Amino acid sequence: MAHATARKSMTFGEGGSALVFAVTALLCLVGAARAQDATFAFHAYLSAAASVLAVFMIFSSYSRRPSEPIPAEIDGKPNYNFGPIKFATTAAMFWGIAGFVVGLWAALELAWPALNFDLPWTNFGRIRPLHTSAVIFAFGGNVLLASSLYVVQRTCRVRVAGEIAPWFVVLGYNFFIVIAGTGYLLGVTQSKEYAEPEWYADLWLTIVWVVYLLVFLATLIKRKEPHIFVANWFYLAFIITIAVLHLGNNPALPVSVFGSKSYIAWSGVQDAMFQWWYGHNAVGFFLTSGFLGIMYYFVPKRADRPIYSYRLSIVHFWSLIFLYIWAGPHHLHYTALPDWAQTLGMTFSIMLWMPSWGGMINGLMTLSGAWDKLRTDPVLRMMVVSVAFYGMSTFEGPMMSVKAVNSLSHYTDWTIGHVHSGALGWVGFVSFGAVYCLVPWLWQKKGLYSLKLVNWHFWVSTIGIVLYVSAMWVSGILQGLMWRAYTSLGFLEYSFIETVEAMHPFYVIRALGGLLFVIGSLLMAWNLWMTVKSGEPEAVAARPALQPAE
Amino acid sequence: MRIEPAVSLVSDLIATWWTPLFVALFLVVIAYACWPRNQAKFDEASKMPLRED
Amino acid sequence: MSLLSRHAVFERNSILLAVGILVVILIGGVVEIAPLFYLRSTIEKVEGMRPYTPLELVGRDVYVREGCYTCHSQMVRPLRDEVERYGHYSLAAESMYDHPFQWGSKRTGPDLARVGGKYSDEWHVTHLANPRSIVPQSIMPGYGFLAHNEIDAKKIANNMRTLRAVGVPYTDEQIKSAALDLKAQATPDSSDVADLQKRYPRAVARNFDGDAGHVTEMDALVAYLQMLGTLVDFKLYSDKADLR
Repeated sequence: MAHATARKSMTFGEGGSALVFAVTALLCLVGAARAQDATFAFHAYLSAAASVLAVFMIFSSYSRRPSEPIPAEIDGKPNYNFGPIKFATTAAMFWGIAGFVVGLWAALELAWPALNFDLPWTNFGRIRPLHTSAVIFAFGGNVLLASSLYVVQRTCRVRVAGEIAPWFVVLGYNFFIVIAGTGYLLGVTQSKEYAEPEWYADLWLTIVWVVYLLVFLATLIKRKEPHIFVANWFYLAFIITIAVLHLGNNPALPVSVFGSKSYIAWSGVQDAMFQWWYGHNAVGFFLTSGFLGIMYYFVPKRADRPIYSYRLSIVHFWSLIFLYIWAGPHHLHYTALPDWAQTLGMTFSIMLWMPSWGGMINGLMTLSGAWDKLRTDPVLRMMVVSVAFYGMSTFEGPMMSVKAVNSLSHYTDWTIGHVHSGALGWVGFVSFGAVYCLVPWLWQKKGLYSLKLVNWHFWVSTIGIVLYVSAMWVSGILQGLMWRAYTSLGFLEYSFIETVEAMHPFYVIRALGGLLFVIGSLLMAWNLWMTVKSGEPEAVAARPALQPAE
Repeated sequence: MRIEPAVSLVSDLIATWWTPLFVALFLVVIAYACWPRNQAKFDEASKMPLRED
Repeated sequence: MSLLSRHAVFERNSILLAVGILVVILIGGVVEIAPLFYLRSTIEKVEGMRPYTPLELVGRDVYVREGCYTCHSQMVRPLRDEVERYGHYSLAAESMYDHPFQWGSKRTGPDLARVGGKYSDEWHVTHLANPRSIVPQSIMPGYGFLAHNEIDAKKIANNMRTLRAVGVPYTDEQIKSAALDLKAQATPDSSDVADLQKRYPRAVARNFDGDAGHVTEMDALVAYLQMLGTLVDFKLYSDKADLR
C-alpha cells in the first residue's frame, strides 16, 4: 500500500486510518451528547479520547519514520515486527496481576461477605465477571496475541502483515478490555457467562477480531516456508472459531443506539444452547487451542528438541477441533434442554479425552532426551507441569460430563475447582512459561534476570494451585452430597444455608491458595521488569537469538 | 426467531450422516499422518521451532 | 495416495486450512442448535406463561445488571432432592420469554426458579438490604441501594418494544399502557390494577418495598422474585403432554 517515492508522504493506510479515527472521534462525541445513560456517555467519551489518541499516534509515528517504507528484510533476514508483541506481553502481565487480585478479592468476599461493602460496584455479582474476563480475555487474550504474532512471524520467516494493523489489533483489543471491565463495575452486562460485554463492546471486538484474522492470514499467505507449522493451525482455529462463537452467541438488539442496554436475540432454551456452545468452546478454542499453539512452539524451543511426533500433532489437531465443538450441552445436563442434545454433549466430551491426551503425550514426550533440563530450567519445568495439568483437567472434564457424575458436581464448587486446575495449572503456567521465554527474546537480553525467582514463582504458585483445587474438590463434593442427603425418615437432611455454612473453611483455604498465586505473579513481574531494565543485552546479533537460557 | 426450513434440512442431513462423516474424516487424517512417504516431511516440520534465520 | 496427499493442500494453503476449520467446527453447532428452533418440546407454549409485566421486567433487568446468575440458578433439575427442595422441575417453556436466559451454572445461593410466593415481601426487602439480619450464616452481598433507585416509568415501554422485536409477544396495548401498569403494580389500591391484571393474568399488585409513593428498583426486584415460578399451575400441568 506504500508508494515508495523519494519524498516522504503518508501511505494510504496511514492517511485512511487517521481519517477513520477522526470520524470515529466525532461520532463518539455525538453519541456521548445524546447518551441515554451515564455509563454509555462515559464509554463514548472514552472512545472519543481513544480515537483522538489513535490519530495522534498515527501522525507521530509518521513523523518519526524514514521516508522509505519499512523493509521486509534486512541483510536477507526477516525484519520482524516486535513492537505490538512487546505491548501485548506487557499488557498480559498487567492484566494478569489485576485479574488475579480481583479473583482473590472475590474469593475473600465468599469467605467474609462484609468485604462486599454492599456497594453496587464492589458486590460479588459485578466483581466475578470482572475477574473471569480479566484473566481469560485480558491476561489470556494478550498472551495469545503476543505469542501468535511472534510464532507466526518466526515460523513463516516473514515480517507480520501490515504496519498499523497489528498495532490496531493489540491496542484495539486492550481498549475492548477497558470498556468491558469498566462496564461490569458500572452495571453494564448481558449476564451471559463469559460473554458479559454489552452490544457496543461486542461490535468493537468483532472489528478488532476480523483485523486480527486478516493480519494472521495475510502473514501466513506471504510466508517464506512452504509448510504451515502446526502451532499456526491451532492459532488459526482459535481465531476463526472465536469469531464464529462470538457472532453466534451475541446478536442483540439495543434498546437505543445511544444506550448501553440491549436484549439478546435468543431466548430461553435456545439462548442456553447458544450460550454453552459458546461457553464451552471458549474453553476449547480460546483456552485450549490457542494455548496448544503455544505448547507446540515454546516447549520444543525451550527444550531444544523437535516435536515428539508431528503425525500425532496432525491427528491431535483435527480430532480436537472436530470433537470440541459438540461438547457444549454437558453444561446443561438435566435441564430443559432435550435429552438427545445432552447425550450428544456427553458422548463427544468423553471422546474428547483421547485427542486431549494425545496432545499431552506429544507435549511431554518432546522432552525425551532432555528430561535433565527440568532440573536446571524452571521455565521449562513450568511449561511441562502445565501440560501435566492439561492432562489432569482433560481427564476430569470428560468424567464430569458423565450425567451421573454431573448430577452431583453441577452447581457446586467442583466445577470451580475443575476450571481452576485448567486455568491456573494449564493456561496460567503455559502462559508464564511463554512470557518468561518471550521477554528476553523480544527485549534482546541474554536471559532472565533471575532463574531462582522463577523457581520461587513455580513453587509458590504450585502450592497455591494445590490448595485452591483440593479445597474446591472437597467443598464441591461435600456440598453436592449434603444437598442430596436424606434422614432415615426420608426428609432432606440439610437446609440450604447449612450447606453454605459448611463451605466456609474451604473458602478460606481457597483464598489462601489464590493469595499464593498472586504472590507468584508479583515475583514474575519483578523478575521481568529487572530483565528488561538491567538484563545483559544479547551480544552478537541485533535480533534475539533463540538460545534457551541456562 | 425461526430458522428457515432449508437450514433444518441441512441440519437433518448432517444429523443423519455425522457418524460416517466423522469416521471417514478421522480415517483420512490418521492415514495421512501415518503414510510412510510423509515421514521425512514431518521430521523436517517438527524441527521448525529450532531453526535460526 | 492421491486422496491422502490432499492434506498437504491444507498445509500449503492457508485459506483452505481456514475453510476446513470453519466447516469442521460448524457441523457440531448446526446439529445441536438448529433443531431447538423447531422441535415441539423446545418451542411449545405451556398454559399460564405470559410476558413479564413492566415492573417485573424492570426487576429482571436489575437481576441481570447485578449479576445474580453468578450465585443463583433458575433451573430445577428433575432429581428427587431438587424437586423436594425447590418444587416441580423447570420446563423449557418457563424461560421462553427470557432474553437472556438466567439458568445459571452455580448455586452459591439456592435456586430461584420457584422462589415466588415462598417468602413475604417484607422478608425479601429486609433480606436484600441486609441478608445476615435474617439468615446469619448467609454470604450474600447486601442490595440496600436498590431502595434508593427510583424507576423512571416512562422508559420501560422502549424496553418492551425492543423485546417485541426479538420475539416477545407484547401487544400494542401493553406497550401503550406500560408506564401506567408499572406504577399500578406497586400501588395496590390504584384503580388501574384491574386493567393490569387483565393484560397480565396472575400479576400481583402490592407495595412490594413497603415505601408508598416511590416505585423503586427494590419494588421491581421483589415483584420479579415473587412471580418466579408461579405462572404455570402444576396441578393442571401434565408432564406426559410435554415429553422432553
